[in-house]
This record gives sequence, structure tokens and C-alpha cells, in this order.
Amino acid sequence: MKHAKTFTLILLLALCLPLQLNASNLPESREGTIVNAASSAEVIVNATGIYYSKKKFGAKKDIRKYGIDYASKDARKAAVYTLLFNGTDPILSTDTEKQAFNSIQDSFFDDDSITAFITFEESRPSKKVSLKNGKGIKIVKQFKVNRDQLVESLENKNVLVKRDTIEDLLGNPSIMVIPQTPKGKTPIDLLSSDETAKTAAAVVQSFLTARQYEVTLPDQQSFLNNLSNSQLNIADREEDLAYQLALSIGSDIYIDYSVSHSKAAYDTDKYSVTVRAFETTTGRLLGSETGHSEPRKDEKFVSIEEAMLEAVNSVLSRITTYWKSDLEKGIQYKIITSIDADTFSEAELEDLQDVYFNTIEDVSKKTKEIIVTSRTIDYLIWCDPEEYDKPRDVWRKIRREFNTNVPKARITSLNQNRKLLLLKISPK
Amino acid sequence: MKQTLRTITALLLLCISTPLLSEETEGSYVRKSISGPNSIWANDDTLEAMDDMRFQLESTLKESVRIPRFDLNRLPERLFTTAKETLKEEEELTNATISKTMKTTVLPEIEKILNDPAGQKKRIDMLKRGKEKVSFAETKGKSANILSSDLETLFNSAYIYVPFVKKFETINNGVLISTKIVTGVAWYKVLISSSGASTLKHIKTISVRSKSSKVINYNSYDYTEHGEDYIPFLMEKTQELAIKQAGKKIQLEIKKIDDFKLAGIVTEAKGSEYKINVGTLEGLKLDDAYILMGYVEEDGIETEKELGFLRVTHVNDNQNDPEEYSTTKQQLGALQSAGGWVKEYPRTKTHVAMNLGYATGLNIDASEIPELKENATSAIVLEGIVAQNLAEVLGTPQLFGELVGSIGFIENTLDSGITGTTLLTSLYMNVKKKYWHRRHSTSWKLGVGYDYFKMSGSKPGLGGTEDYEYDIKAIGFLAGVGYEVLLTKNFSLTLSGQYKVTPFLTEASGKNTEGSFDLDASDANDTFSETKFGGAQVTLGFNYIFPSFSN
Repeated sequence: MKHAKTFTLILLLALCLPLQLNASNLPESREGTIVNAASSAEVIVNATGIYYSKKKFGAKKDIRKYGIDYASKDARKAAVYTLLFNGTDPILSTDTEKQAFNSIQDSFFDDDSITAFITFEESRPSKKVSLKNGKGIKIVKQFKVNRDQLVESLENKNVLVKRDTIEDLLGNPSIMVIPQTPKGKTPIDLLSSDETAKTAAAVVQSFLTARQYEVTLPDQQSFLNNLSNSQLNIADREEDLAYQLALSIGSDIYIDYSVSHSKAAYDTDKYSVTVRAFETTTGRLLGSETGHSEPRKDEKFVSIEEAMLEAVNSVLSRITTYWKSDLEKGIQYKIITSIDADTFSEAELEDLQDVYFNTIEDVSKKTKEIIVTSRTIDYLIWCDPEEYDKPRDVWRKIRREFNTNVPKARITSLNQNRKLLLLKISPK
Repeated sequence: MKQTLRTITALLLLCISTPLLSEETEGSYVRKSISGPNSIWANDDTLEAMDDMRFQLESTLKESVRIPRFDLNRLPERLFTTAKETLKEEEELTNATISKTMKTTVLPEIEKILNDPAGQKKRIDMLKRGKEKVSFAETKGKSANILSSDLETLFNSAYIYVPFVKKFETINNGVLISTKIVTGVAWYKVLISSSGASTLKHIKTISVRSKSSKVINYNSYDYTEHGEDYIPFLMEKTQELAIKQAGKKIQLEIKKIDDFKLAGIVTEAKGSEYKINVGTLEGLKLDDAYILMGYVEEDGIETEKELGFLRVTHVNDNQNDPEEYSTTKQQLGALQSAGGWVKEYPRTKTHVAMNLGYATGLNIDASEIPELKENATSAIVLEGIVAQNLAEVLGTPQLFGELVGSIGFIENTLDSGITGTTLLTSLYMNVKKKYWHRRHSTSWKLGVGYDYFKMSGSKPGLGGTEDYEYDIKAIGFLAGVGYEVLLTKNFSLTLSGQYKVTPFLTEASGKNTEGSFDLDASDANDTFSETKFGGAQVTLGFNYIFPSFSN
């Protein structure tokens, strides 16, 4: 009798154990493929859902009656999971974000919460596979997931840094969009004469403005006029008009793109759009992605838009990652200072350079020397955004400190914008 | 012995059940466009033999080929005439020479049709019918979104058919008039590569034989009706029947070509009832058979498997609304959830059955047939049944017209010294309705027919032995119930019970001790007033559905 009781107890414990282990809301399946962008906010995902019946008896009936429903729930979670963790540009890209998400993942993957991000679900699975002799089921379904809403939700749960927080500290980032131009042509020529370039530019603009970025499309001659010769020379990158334009405009990032076309099977047309994002101050490539359209008959602009959406979506993820890391280092500025070297003696020159370097170190959290010659000093600096939230504040501090400590010389500002300070040191 | 019997039975069942897997791919059927000549291709002798019947054969073959699952591309007849003329110059007529000739004559015109933007849009719309619009381009304004994959499907779903007749022969041997036809359809697939290069591939040549015969009977109503034209009338009749039969055979064989098999998605599942996205648009018919397919993962490998066998119970009109799903019921295999797919299992609507049983309650009265020692009341019965499914004609599923022929070996007790056999032969026309629940069915039937009692033998007489004979005919009515269990797609075991009444005799003749007699209905009923051929009958047997017509 005693043995029987012990046996029953062990049996009950054994039955309860798997339930406890499976209590997590995380998806059983973690399989998903990002197909393409359905709109600027939505992404199409093919996700797999798995369900195993936990019933000891009537497992097959359970699968037949409820299998697809449960597997569909799992597939929904897998679709969201894919966007969060998988692919080239997952939403949770840093360890900090992943750790923060760990603490909320159970509640986040609650059935009701997940449904809120799904804007479309295929009415029937595109594939159904019977598992474990009918005691399990695997389905594949297509979903449209609202990526923007997903990001917003994670921001509200403090898993991702809120956009507002970054904006408060760094300011609303400004992005310049420009087509890649062949030698001898200006972006303005291209934007006014090439329908393809114009359409692509409009798509990027619409995509970025929908996300409330400050977008500049240099499609007016005035932009070029603003580029003075001196600026071009100082920038030392005469060949790269996009870089010079971005510096001149003062955008945080600039995006250039190119559209190419090829003939595909059955006389259809396929378009590829390559989008590259650069850090304006350094010209460093932040991300490059190529989006492809489906090989389609006619409907050129739909194809361009489709390819552009695919590319820009990925590139923007990388911009966001860059932007977040920038927040940790501080706001970045490029400072190019020209020195009227002929008017100073060698000793004087060394002294004033020392003072200049000290001043730069004082104003910034981190610095990087790009070029130092007797006539030019090119620096990258990162400033504390709470102390210097405007370039003018940086300039004031440099001016005050330099002019106080160097009696024979004075520093003046030639030009300044969000990212660039063009300075000049001359005798008093 | 038992073991051997079991093995034989198993082998028999295996032979009867047809191969299950075919190359049909998952999902919905892609409509095929077909083009073909209006006229039959045949040599001059055959054309001459056909005479006026040529037009009827052409029209029957056209009907057999142009079924709802196809879209017809109408091509100018001159193209096919040119092809035919070119082929006449070929030394040998092979599929390769036909393909080569068609490529230069007919194919360019088909390509023109396939490249027509309006037609392309219409057919691609059909291709995407019922599919949800998800992608960016699909949801973007008025985008037609014609992709290369759509064009690939469109350009590779065109077929050319060539109807031909090899033999058309009507023979009168003085007793029988028979027509023999060997006819068929050759199918070629148009293949257009991504670069636009086109080829023709022979996929199958369907060749069928059909035969129809009529007995020449100058006492028949037809002779009275047609007089001198009786023989031409019979010839025409046999030709018509043979043509009709050939048409039916060809249509079934076309449906059996893998490329042309209908397929659909299981959209809903409720118990053994499944909704499928195939309907009148594709030419779905009541009681059509389908195989339920699905993926099964075994040892980590996904394989396509047959999971069940379905029968169409309700056909919905999906011409205008693709969401109008038809209903099927599962007969074989474990129940499944929605999400799998079905593929057509074409077969004939003709069933045959053989039953062996026991009849009791009949009465061959000893007082009316003195050779009997006592009344004969039971018989061992052997039945042969040919049944035709009438669902398509009458719109009721599982309604059959049966022609039942049976022979009953009556158990009798003859007086000593008398020998003889006592048989009851019957021919009945029944209407039968079956109600299925999975693999089991119950049924009822009603019938009317004719019973023919024959008893003959010899008995001791004054001058040695003398023969005796009784031939009695009666009209009967029957009602019955049955049970059937399906073992394979086409084979089932049956158990039936029926009750028959023969309220009046139609004639009686024979000879006995008193001499010969020949009685009309009234006298027969008076003389054999106690003799009844009805009663209860229980039989066990099997039912088999022909997967195809015999050639």
C-alpha cells in the first residue's frame, strides 16, 4: 500500500515536471525568414509554428482539432522572434538590449501581446507537416509584422533606448539623400533628368520622413553654390561630391544610392538598388545594402520602390545602431583648422598648436587626429551632449580658451554647421 | 491451406488497388490552355470508312477533350491543315516528326496568343484567383504584378492535342453487326524557356479501342419500324454507341494524365468532412474521388504522403467566387486537419459486384409440381451486378442504377427415382442509394424485374423414363438494405438483405405426365397459384469500381 502511494506520488511529479519546463511563452519554433518589406513600417515574414500535444491519450485528436490553432500561435511568436533576433539587422542588436529583453520575454511573448504586432496573417498555412506520428504538427505561414510598432513597444518597455531620449541628447539626426553620380555629373543634373533617380529619392525621402528624420535632398542649385572653393579644398576630398555636400549641409549621415536594371526571364525587368550610408564627419561607411525587385513585367516604378524599400530598411537599422553607439561616445564634430603659418615663428607655432590641442582635449570626451600639418589641423572630437548640445557651444569654449591662452594669435570661425567647424588661426 | 488462401486474397487485393502515388505537385490546379484541330487525323481509307460518322466522331472527341479544366485557344484550322499536309511527306510518322512539324506550323501562333497582353492578364488573374494579396507590389495601387514566375507557369501550361483514328470498321456477319474503333488523342506540351526558345514535348498518346454490336433480329420492333433500312439503321446504331464509348474512354484517360489531374487545397476540416477549393469551374462532379495528401516528417525528413481517400459530396459553383468551396468526405485513412491538399483520382462510374447468398421464403408448391416430394422454399443464390453511378445525372450523391442478374439453385426434395435441376434465374433493375460514414456504408434499394423458374429432368414412366419440364415466368418487386465496407479505393465487401414479391406470373409452359402445356398469364396464375418466387434473401459479396475502361 505504501509502495503504491509512493509510486503515485512519483508519477504525479513526473507528469508535472514537463509542464513546469514548458511554462515559457517563448516560441517552440524559432524559424522564420524575412521575405521583404511590405511597406515602410511592415515586414513580410514566413514563419514556422510547431505544436506537440501534451496529452497522454487522444494526442492525435488534439492535434487534428487544435493543432493548427496552436501551431499558428507559435508561428506568430516565431515571426516576431525572427525580427527581434535573426537576420542581418535584428532589432535587438546589442548585448545590453538582449539582456534587458530577457527579463520581459515571458510577458512579451504572451499570445495577446504578440497579436498586436501582426497586421496580416495568411488564412491557411502554406505548408503543414505531421510530426511524431501525428502527435505533433508543424506549419509555415506568412505574416506581416509591424516592425515600427514592435520597436516602439520595446522602447516603452525600456529594452531599446527611446528615440526621444536620443533626440533630446543628440538632436534629431539629419540625413542627406543623394544619388550616386557618374564623373562629370552633379546630383542636381541627375535628379532633374533621370526619372529613376527621382523616384528612388522620393521613396527614401518618404521612408525617412515617415520615421521623423530630418531629410535633405540636395536637388537645388543653391546647395552647390554653398560649397565654397575653400571648403572643398580643406575637406581634401575633391572627388567626393556627396561627402562635400553632406559636410557643407551639416547632415549627421548621408545616404547615397544607385539604381541598376537588368533583363530577367520571360522578358521581365529586374531592378536593384544599392544604398550606402556614411558618417558625414569621417566619410566612414556605416552600412551598405542592395535590394532587389521581383522580376516583373513593366511597372518600373513599383519595382524600384520595392527594391529601395528592401535596401533602405536594412541600412536604416545600421544607422540606428550607429546612432545608439554615438550616444555612448558623445556628439561627434569634425574640426578643421587652418593656420596662417607664415606669420608665426616656428616656436610660436609650436606653442599655439600646444594650446590648441589642450583646448580640444578640454572640450571633448574623446578625440582623434586626422591630419596635423603646420598649416592644417583636422580633428574628430566627441563632446558630452549634456554639456555641449550645440556646435556653437563647442566653438565658444574653444574660442574662449584659445584666445585667453595665446596672446599673439586669435582663432576665428569661418563656417560652422551641425557637424563641421571650419576655424582659422591668424595673428592678432 | 488457410495461409495460402490469405496470401492469395492479399495479392488479389493488392492487384485490385491501383498505384497510389503520382507526380502531381502540391496545391491548386493550374489551368491549362489547349489547342487542337477541329478535324480528325486519319488516313484516307479510315476517313472513307467513317463516311458520315466522321463528323459525329469529331464532335464526340472534341467534347471529350474540351473539358472545364482547360482553356481553349482557338487557332485557325489552316495551321493544322498545313501541318497535316507537311506530315504526309514524312517517311515515318513519329512523335518526333509530329513535334517538329507542329513547331514550325502551329507553335508560332500559340506563342502569339500566349504573348497577348490582354490574354496574359486574364490568365494570370485566374492563376492568382483566391490568393491573398500580401506583398508590397500586390497591395500597391493598380499594380498588375505580373512576375516572371507567373509567366513561366503561363508559358509552360499550353498544350496541343491531335485527335486521330486508326481504325473504323463496321462488319455485318449476318448474325451480328459490329463496329470497332481504334481512336485516340496525342498530347504535346509547349515548353517556352526563360529566354523565349520554344519546343514541343510529346507527353502522351492516348489510344482506346471501342466496340459495339447489335444482333440482327427480323422479328424486332426496329425491323418493323425501319424495314429495308433496318441494316443501315443497326450499323448507324453500333457506330454511334462505339463512338460514344470511345469518347468516354478518352476523357477518362485524359484526366489520368498527371499534368491534367485536378488538385486543390483543403481549406477546412470538420471530422471526416473537408472543404476543397475545386468546384464547377474545374469541372468537379459529385462522387468524384480524390486522394488526400500531406507532408509527414520521418527521421527528420519531410516526405509527401497519401493520407486518405475522399469522395466529393457537394460541388459548389466557384465560377464567380473562389471562396465557394466544395465538400468532400473522407472514406479511408486517419482523419486530418486542414492545410493539406487533394489530387484527383480519376476512375469510371461503373461498379461490378458479385454476391453469394441464401434465399428463403419462396414456395415451389409440391401440390402444383407433383415431381416434388415436398415444397421447395429455399435456394443458394449467386448474383452478378453491374451498377452505374447516377450522381452526375440526377444530382444526388451515391445514387446508383443497378442491373442485377442472379441464379438461384433451389433446394428441392424429389420423389425417389426422379432426377432434375431446379433453377430460378432473375434479372432486376434496381435503384440504390448508399449512405457512407467513413469506410462504412448502409444502403437501401428498390427494384423491379423478371423471374424465370426452370425445372427439368426425368422420372420413371410407363415406357421407361420420361422427361418433364416446367418454365414459369413472373414479374417481381424487391426492396432491400445493405452494408458495405471499403477495403481499398475501389474494392469493398458487401452484405445485403432483400425481400422480393412476385405477385403474378406472366406465363408458364412445359410438359409433365399429363402432357405439354402452354399457359397464358391468367391460366398460369390459376394453375400455379401457390407458387411464389419471392421471399427473403441474404448475400455476401464484393463490389469493385473500375479504375479505367478496358481497352
